[in-house]
Amino acid sequence: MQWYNRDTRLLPAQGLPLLVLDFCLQQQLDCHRLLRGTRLFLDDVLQHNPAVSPEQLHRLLDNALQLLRSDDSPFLLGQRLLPGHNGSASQALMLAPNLYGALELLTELQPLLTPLLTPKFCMDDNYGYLYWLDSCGAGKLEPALVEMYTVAIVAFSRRQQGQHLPWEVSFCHSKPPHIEQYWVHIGEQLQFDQPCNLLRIPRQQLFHNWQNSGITARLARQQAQQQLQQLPACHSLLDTTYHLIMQALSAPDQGRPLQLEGLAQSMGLSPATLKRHLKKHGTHFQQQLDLARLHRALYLFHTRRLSTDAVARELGFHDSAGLRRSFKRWTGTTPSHLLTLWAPAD
Amino acid sequence: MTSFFRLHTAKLLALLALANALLLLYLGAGDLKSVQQWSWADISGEGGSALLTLLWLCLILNSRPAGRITTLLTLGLGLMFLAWWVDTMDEFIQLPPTIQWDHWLESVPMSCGLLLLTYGLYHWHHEQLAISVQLQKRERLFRDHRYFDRVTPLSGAQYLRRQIDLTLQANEQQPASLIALDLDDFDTVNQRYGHSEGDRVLQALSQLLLLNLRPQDLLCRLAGDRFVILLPHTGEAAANGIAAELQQAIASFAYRNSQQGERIRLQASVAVVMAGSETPEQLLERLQLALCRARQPLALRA
Repeated sequence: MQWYNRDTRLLPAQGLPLLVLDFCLQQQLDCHRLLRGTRLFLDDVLQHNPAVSPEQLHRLLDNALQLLRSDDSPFLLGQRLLPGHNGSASQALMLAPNLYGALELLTELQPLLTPLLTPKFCMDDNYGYLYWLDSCGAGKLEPALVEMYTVAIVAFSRRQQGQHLPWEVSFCHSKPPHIEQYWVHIGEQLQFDQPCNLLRIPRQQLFHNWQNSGITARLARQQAQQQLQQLPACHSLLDTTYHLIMQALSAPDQGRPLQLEGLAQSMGLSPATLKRHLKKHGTHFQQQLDLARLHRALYLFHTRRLSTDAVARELGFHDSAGLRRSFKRWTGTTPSHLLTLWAPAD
Repeated sequence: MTSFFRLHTAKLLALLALANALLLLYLGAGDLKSVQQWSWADISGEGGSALLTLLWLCLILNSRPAGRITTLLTLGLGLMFLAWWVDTMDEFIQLPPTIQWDHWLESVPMSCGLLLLTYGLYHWHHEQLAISVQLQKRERLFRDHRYFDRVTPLSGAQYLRRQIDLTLQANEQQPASLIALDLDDFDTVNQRYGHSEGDRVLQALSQLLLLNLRPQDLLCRLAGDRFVILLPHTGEAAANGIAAELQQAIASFAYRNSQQGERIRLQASVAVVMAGSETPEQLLERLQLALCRARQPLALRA
């Protein structure tokens, strides 16, 4: 199998799960209530380091956040997430030469470093962009996960660079009542109700030298890659479908829009099986297709600076009005309005 | 729960013994009523009151430290419970009409209990006044434990919002100011000494800040390493003065870590805004922006 499902046991328990456990036990949470429904046992985690599925990890985090009952928990947890305790992968991240190198490692070693959200990284002339995809069907946990991992990136890059970085952050969710946590732990440049969960940073910050990485860094990276190869798979099911849909979208000369059958075929599954898999992850084909088309449209508008007509053609819409209608449905706003929000600051 | 019973065994057993003695007395003196004679309205009313009084008693015992006031409240509620208990037994046991003491058994414990409870509550009021003085600069006029911060002995951002709202509404003519105070490079403290040491730094720091404030000021922990101080009746110039003093106090604060006694040097950025005609949310946002401008860029690592 080339991908993992949300119930595939692949993450070493002594990585992220233990980090969450440790944090919660330090906050005097009851271990039994924390592990309820996760099918994990503290002694087992400590002695045998069993493999944990994303589903179990979701449950653990959900328990933790409910028991902690505090606005700052995702933020405090987020500060501890990177580089984390994932052996060579964490070590490689620590030794990254600059932010660009760190983000590159993060996307490459995603199942090890950020197993529940997939970071996607791209650049244009002015900025570097990092956006998050739900990799294993997080459901209602997603906003908290996005908070956690955004803080993780902001805190890690600040530590490495020794100064606050000018991150601009967009969130899909609305402005929460505990906005002060965002101010303190993330920064002041925040936008809510946006089409994707995205961090943006001026391009020159990406190449600010952190350290001269020598052989140790290369070695750590190689070892991390080996660690990655030992996992049952390197990409989650949702990442695989996202990747395949994106691939189909960026090859526009196929003419016909991608269908569930086509996607299933390229994954070596029957359409019914793929449907069932997607349902298990709390989503369906149309939702995944819309997500990918939205991201593709944003990319084309913003980075390639195409007109609405050109984007509509690329995405297989009949006309620009169709694209505008769909865009409204996906994001609640129009492409032009969104572009003014995202315009470069200068 | 087990610790609750262990601590208060004697009191609860005494109450149980008394209730049992009264039951035996009634059974000895009177006859059981038949089910047709039971009045369900009275049974549920009086029995329910007895049960609720017992619940109050347990809550008081469980939540208050021992002392004079706790004893008064316990005695008062205990007597009230016994009075309701006797009242309830009336519904099941018919006493012969010659007996008169049952009326006394109902009314004397009830009135004594109410008197003791009143006396206890009166002293509780004085105790609260004394505690409010101790909570000065951390609480003003309004209390809700849901807004307490978990790390420091302060209240959090929600409480602050309410307080800003109250202050702005109360004195529209009088100026009020806010100071935001953010530790520089606090993350390094957490990284180097551990997060629990970081929490201890915040606790110590909140005590230090409280010492440096006036009685009418209010200190809250906004989030993380950021504190906000509400200064009623204070213009921007005076607030700036206080802010500078706080900054100095923090810079010369010799906090020593709990393991090796090594000094952790602290430094803070401050920002001051004066409240205008705006909502607490807008005011906090303005304060946040002012702090961002004031915050010194971290020194680049060597």
